[in-house]
Amino acid sequence: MIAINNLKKKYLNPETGIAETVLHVPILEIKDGEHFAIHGVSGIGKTTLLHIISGLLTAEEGSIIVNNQALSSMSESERDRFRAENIGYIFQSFNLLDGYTALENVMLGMVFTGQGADKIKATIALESVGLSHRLHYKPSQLSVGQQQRVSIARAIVNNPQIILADEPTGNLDPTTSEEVMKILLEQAKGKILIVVTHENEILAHFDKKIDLLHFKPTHLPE
Amino acid sequence: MRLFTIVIKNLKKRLLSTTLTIISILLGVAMVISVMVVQAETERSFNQTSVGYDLIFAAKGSQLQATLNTLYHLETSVGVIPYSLYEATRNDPRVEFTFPFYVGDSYRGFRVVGTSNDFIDNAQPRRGQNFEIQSGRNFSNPLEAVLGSQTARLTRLQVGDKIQITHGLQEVAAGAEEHVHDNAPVTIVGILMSSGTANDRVIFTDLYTTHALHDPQFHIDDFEEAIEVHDHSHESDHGDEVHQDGHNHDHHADNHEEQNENAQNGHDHDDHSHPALDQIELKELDAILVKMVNPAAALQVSGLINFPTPANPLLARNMMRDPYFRYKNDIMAVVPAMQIRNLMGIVGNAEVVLRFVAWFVVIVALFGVLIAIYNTMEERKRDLAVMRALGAKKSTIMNIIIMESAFICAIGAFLGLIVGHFIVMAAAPYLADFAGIVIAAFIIDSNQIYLIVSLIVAGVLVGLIPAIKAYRTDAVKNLSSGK
Repeated sequence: MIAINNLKKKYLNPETGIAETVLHVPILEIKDGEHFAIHGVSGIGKTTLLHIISGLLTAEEGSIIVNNQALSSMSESERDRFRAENIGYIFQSFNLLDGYTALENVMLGMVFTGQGADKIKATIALESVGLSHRLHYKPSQLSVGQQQRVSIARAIVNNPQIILADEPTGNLDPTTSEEVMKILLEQAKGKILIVVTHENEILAHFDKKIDLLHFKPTHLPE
Repeated sequence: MRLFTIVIKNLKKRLLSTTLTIISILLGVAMVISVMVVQAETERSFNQTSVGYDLIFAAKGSQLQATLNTLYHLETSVGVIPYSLYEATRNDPRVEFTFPFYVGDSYRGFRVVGTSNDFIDNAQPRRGQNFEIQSGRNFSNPLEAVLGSQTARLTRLQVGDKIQITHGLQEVAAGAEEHVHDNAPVTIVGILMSSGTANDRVIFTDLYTTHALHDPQFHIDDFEEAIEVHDHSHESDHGDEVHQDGHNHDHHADNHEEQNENAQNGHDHDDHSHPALDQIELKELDAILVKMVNPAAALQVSGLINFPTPANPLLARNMMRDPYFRYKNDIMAVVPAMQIRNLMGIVGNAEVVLRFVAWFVVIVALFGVLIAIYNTMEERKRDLAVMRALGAKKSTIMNIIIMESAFICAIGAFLGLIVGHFIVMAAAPYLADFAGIVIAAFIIDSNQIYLIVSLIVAGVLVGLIPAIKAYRTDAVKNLSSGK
């Protein structure tokens, strides 16, 4: 479960020298196994919220509890370990490493858990997204849809409880988007899936969604 | 896949840059290694050879020259000493072994040394290491010779072959006329195992051979006749005959008359049965190598010979009782270990400069590693950010960068070690030929191990700078920039 309470993220305004709130989430609760969509206008803080849930960023105020662990009280190193073991991350631009094959990119997702990379598990993950025939292809040899499927395989290979997807179909055509979303939703069954998107077609897949505009800090422009 | 796999993949991704930085480290380390090996092996070669003998008796002159000439077969002789001094050392109970040394001839540039066969049997070219015969036997008669291993290898001579010895120590220049003792072929009866010393480049033969070869009237096929001629030569002036013959027998002809008397009284023919040998006078030597029963006695003898006779009559009388005292005005006593220590002190300065230059190359190469990795940090920000998003700790990212640097240095250092030894191996024959220093490659000592370890440590330190930059890379910012 993810429980957010009065979370505020602030950045220092270089012009005024004053820390300004760029994200305010008064209260948000996502139960285990729920699939959740976050949408809103650009700059509203959707990606920032994902980074905070993953532990890459910390909030200046409020609390965030993920899987009964208070991220705000963890050290950076503890958050890194937590992320490696509990979070699967999917990016709009896939963020696959160029010099690595599909299999190696997936295995890379396992290296930092401390368990070491398991080639069999990585192969199974790729098979589950329909890429068993592309194990040794490098990203440049794959279509964008296939690249995103590798990214999904990398996110699920450690069997994390939470999958965060930041605009996972942002770079894909509608047909491929649909295929990728189907795979993502299938693979995320029983897990918390939080998808950031601004596409209505993608939002249609989710029963639970939130427009961050509702939490918009007063100083942000409309 | 582990961290090391990521390191290797990162390095392979920038293969050209990685290869060039490894080569730069390799070259620096190879330079350092070759200087280190040459220095260490030279010192070892000189020291070990010098410890085989406690004293060298030679004519007055440069002590270093006498040492280089007798032990390393370099330089020319400082002059001749009476053969009777050798007899005196043989009768001295303080002496464990004594070996005569007589030079002046060569074969195809390889020095011919006249000595006793006792030299091959008992001399130690290195500490605790005697000569070993690879094939054939030790020489036991005149006109027989034993080859050093390198001489045999380079001349392709074998046991049973006959050679014509040339007068003089150098190979004769093209077009120049050489004086070949073509009337006296010397038979190769043995080939020595490699001793790792300058002795490997020498031809050892009997003293009678070298003395006889300097007799212009000597002929192997007319040995009995040579006796008569030799007798005749004693009635006339032997020294004049030598010069009339047209070639210069340098110091061997000098002091002949004065030393003749000593030789007549002193030389020992016990080992030789040929009646003609009695007619060959062992008049002079270039040096005598002495191993004392008690090495400390060498200092006492050298003091007696080299320092002025004390004014105190009691002390002076004691010294006069010493069998070497009567030679005091004509000879010097050299303690070879001291000469080598002095020589190493001089040579050491040049080696310090060489080593400094080599280390400078290594340091420049280390900067090359630093720059090569640092310059990639900008293009690798996204990759590092992705790893952070996948759960890599900042310290893990740092470790990856440091491991890359350490790996480059380790591979460069290891390859440099091998290449350095190959350089030494390639240079060894030339050093042996031109400097008389026998150097063995692929002897890896603790200093070289320290060098490799210190290079890896330096690699870690060099990697720290880009690693800190990687540590500070803002993962969130660089993930977003990938959109």
